[in-house]
Amino acid sequence: MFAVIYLPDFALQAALRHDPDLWNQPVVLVDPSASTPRVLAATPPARLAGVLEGMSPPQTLACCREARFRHRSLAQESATTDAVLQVASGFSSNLESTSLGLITVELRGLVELNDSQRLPAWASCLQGSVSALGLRVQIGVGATPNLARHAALWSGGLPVVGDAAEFIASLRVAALEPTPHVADILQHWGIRTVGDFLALGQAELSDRLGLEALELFTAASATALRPLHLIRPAERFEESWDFEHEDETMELLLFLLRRFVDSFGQRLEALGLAAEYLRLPLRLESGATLDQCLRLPEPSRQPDALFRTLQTHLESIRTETPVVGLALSAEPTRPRQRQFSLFEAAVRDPHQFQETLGRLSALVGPETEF
Amino acid sequence: MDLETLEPAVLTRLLWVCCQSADEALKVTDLLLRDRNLPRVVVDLKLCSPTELRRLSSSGWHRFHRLTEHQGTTALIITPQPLVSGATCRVRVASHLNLAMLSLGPDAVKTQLRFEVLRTPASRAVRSQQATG
Repeated sequence: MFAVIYLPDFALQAALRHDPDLWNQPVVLVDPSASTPRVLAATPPARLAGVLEGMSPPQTLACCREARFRHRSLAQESATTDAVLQVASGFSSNLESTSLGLITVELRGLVELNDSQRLPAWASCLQGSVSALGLRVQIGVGATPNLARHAALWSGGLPVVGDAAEFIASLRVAALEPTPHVADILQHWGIRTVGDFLALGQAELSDRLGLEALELFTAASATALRPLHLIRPAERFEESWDFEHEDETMELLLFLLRRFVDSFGQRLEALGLAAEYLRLPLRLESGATLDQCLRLPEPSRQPDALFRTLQTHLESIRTETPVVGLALSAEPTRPRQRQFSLFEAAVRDPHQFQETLGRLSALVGPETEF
Repeated sequence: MDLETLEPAVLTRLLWVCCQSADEALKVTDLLLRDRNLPRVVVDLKLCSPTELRRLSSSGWHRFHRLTEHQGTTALIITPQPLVSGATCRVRVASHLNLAMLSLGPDAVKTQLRFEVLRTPASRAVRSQQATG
């Protein structure tokens, strides 16, 4: 069995992941590196206002005056892919990054799925874990990678494919992604579903449509298996954010950092790791960067402990100009296991102690502690 | 306290904070008592001037008392005169040591020390009963 994790509008999701409220506003995504910027994706309110992919910014504003433009960020997309792969690795170690926003998971060897009745609950759990990263996700489970992919993209809320032939036959022809020319021909023929298409016969369709018919038959296959290009999720934990306007308050910084550490906590737990260092570069309006590497008193993946360290650090610094962007990265390590001797006592809460030391340094200066 | 006389193993478990004023020392004490990791906190105010000590708010001592009760911490506050209202136990150093004692070792000095207990938990309980009765 295979599962596919599909993130629709991946580039837009990656750009809006840390600001989900923007999904309720007309936001369009453009590629700043293109010579002529075009709309790559748009939120539902922008689509309702008539914004379409490929529109230029003036056309977009003519359709929707309130439209807000966001730039596509390859760094955000890479970070999002890392995050999803890390969370998915907590469910199965056999992962393939099939394409942007599409991850295929092989379920072979998972003991908890010996009973196929558990598949829907497993898929729901996987969906919940990826959704916790602030992403909209669709899960599909099927006997082949192709079937699972169709289920993720087109099943509309029914993640596990039971009768493969019936499921494939019920899909619309558009699910096979024909070229516009062939799609027009099929529409003129009155072919609406994959079942109608398959009923025409492979040889007859190849005679009339050429090689593309063979590709469409392959896309409609419910039995073809292919080896996955398995990868290991990178042990990289990075998040970044650029403010539209310079930020002069700490509340927004703390709000974003809380989101970052929540994500780190979930991902570190999936990989069985803990953060040893946190690095927090703050980009200032003046062009300078205030970079600080914070060592945790002991490796941890508890979001509260990570957040307290960052909060204490931010309370102890002053910047001359507002912050225009920030990034947070965590250096992972194995969680430390220690066996104390009989009369040895550990510090009850090392993170609290670290926070106290930080506050003391801010109060009396770092040179007055011994 | 002479840091050089302490064993390295003890020093690894000692946090020493040097403060510039009594007010700052109380702020530091507040942080340390809230930390919950430190079972003993010693605040040495004996070199502070009486004027500076009189300016300290008495509500701070009550807050420390609540914190020590809540966190299970023991706080020893050394002052040149009785100052800490609500202290569970109050002890006065009755012996008068001179500079010549510095040439003796710590063990010899310890033998010369005399303490006078001014208040114990039991006497405090009796006084509070009398006050309520």
